[in-house]
Amino acid sequence: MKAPHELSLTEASAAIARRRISPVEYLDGLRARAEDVGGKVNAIVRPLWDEAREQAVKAGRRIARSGQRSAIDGLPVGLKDIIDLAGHPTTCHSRILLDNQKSADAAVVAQLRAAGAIFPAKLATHEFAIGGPAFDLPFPPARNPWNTGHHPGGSSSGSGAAVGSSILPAALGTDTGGSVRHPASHCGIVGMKATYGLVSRRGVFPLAFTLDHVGPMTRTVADNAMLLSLMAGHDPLDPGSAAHKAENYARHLKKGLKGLTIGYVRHFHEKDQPASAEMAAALDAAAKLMAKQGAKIKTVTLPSLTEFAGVNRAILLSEAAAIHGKWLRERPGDYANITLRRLLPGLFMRAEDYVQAQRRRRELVAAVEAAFAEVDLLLTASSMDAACKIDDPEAVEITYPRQARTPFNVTGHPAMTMMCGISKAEGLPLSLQLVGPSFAEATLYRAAAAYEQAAPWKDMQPAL
Amino acid sequence: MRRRIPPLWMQAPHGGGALAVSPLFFLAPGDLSAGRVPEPSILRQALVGTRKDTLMTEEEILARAAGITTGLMSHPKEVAEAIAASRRMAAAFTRPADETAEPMPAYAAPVSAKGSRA
Repeated sequence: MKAPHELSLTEASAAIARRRISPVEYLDGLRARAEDVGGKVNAIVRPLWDEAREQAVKAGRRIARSGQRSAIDGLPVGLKDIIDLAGHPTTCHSRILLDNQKSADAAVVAQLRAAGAIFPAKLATHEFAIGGPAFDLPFPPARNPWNTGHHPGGSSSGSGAAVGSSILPAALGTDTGGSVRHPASHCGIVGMKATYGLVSRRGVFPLAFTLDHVGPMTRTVADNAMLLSLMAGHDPLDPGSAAHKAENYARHLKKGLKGLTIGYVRHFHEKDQPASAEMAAALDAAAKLMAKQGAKIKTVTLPSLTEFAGVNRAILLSEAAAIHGKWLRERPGDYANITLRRLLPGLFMRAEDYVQAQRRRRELVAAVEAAFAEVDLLLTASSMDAACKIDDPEAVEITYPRQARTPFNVTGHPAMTMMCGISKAEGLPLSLQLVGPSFAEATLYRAAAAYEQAAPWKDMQPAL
Repeated sequence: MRRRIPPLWMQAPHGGGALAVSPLFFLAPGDLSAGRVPEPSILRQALVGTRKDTLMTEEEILARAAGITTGLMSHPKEVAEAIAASRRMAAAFTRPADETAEPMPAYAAPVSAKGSRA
């Protein structure tokens, strides 16, 4: 019998449904795990175990009486601390918002709460989802569970560290330039940035309105598909919400890769931002394994990473400046220095540059759409390197452009990352990214589940 | 030495002489080499009355245009870096060749909750 913290979300759900474990016993097991390893990874900024236990007691009684409301009934989900949870502050990991008490749940939290989820922790983030890892903030930065001297990725760093270290089976992150997929890549877990507008952003502190996404982070593909199925759906009060109903994204998990054509975007990691030899080899091996499983692999060329990154930065910083302008001008000393340096250029972007970036964005969307006329999915690198040292500011700065995640914030296509190897030198996870046409999340999960089953990485866990 | 007169756009709108630019962004004439990023110590020395010589470096003009008149004045290094970074970022992507290309997302008229009154 596995210990509670070793159960995946779907395994815990099944165990609760069969009365093999109660929501309270499961939560207590996770709390013990947090007490054991939490101090090593700094994933939690606001523990809410007592409040969650009360919710778990109620869920247990309800489930005993009438069965589970949904697959997540009685199960815990961590929240990046830019996502509102009623009765608690949303600090954005910043001294500027330490007292930012919220009286209502974010829409996505309310949706999960209605499905029976419980919320035992607010999790570390880069300040305002952009500035980190930083050591001059009210909370310490999260650390990589595979090696606590290394960066866990960001900005959803606490979500990645909590799930990667098995303190929680699932967490929500946000992704504006790759911030769900970066920590998922470095912490060896599964991170999904669904199609823009599929998950409501209402009640989530914005970084850049036209690029922001909320996404699930889990240890398995099935868990991720289950969680997204409960998070997705149209929200008429979110101006960016897509008029698209939630689906059962787990419905194709066992269909396999046969019949799918996957476009392999080699130039991202071979030419645009040459990846480490280990990362490049891991990606090639993943493409080979997918071919062996029945997928047709075809090389695809997209515009260069530089183009996507340039457009992402111009839009992100301009929109962020509209949000942070007053605080930047009047309270610069209240930001971490790294946050200040990352946000400040936005004050100097010209209106013309912002509009030009939005015009170029339409062309980039068209280029990716054209690729999807030829293939079902894209396979790309996520990070070009394994996680760098967390206390090496130069290495951290290099990390940010050396990735292929921002293209799909620019285009809004769904993209997910998962483990595809382990670096021999440092024992850190290597990762791949799968990208699909808009609203093709079920196909993405299908391919990811097939790869997960065929590859040897799913049983590897960090030794904390 | 001939007194430098601030250009019209820098003058205060209500006849108050020089624009009420924070004194931190006023430099002594000897410090005014084109494009030079002021060091904090120089800026501190420049804490003089707002009616003195008002030629500003390009960075100072941009900072003023960005509304930096309060707390950020004490972070001149970060401001100068940000200006340089914004220039790099603005030049980091290709402009559409078609002058009539629409930006994304396209504006869409709001749908009236009451519907048409016609």
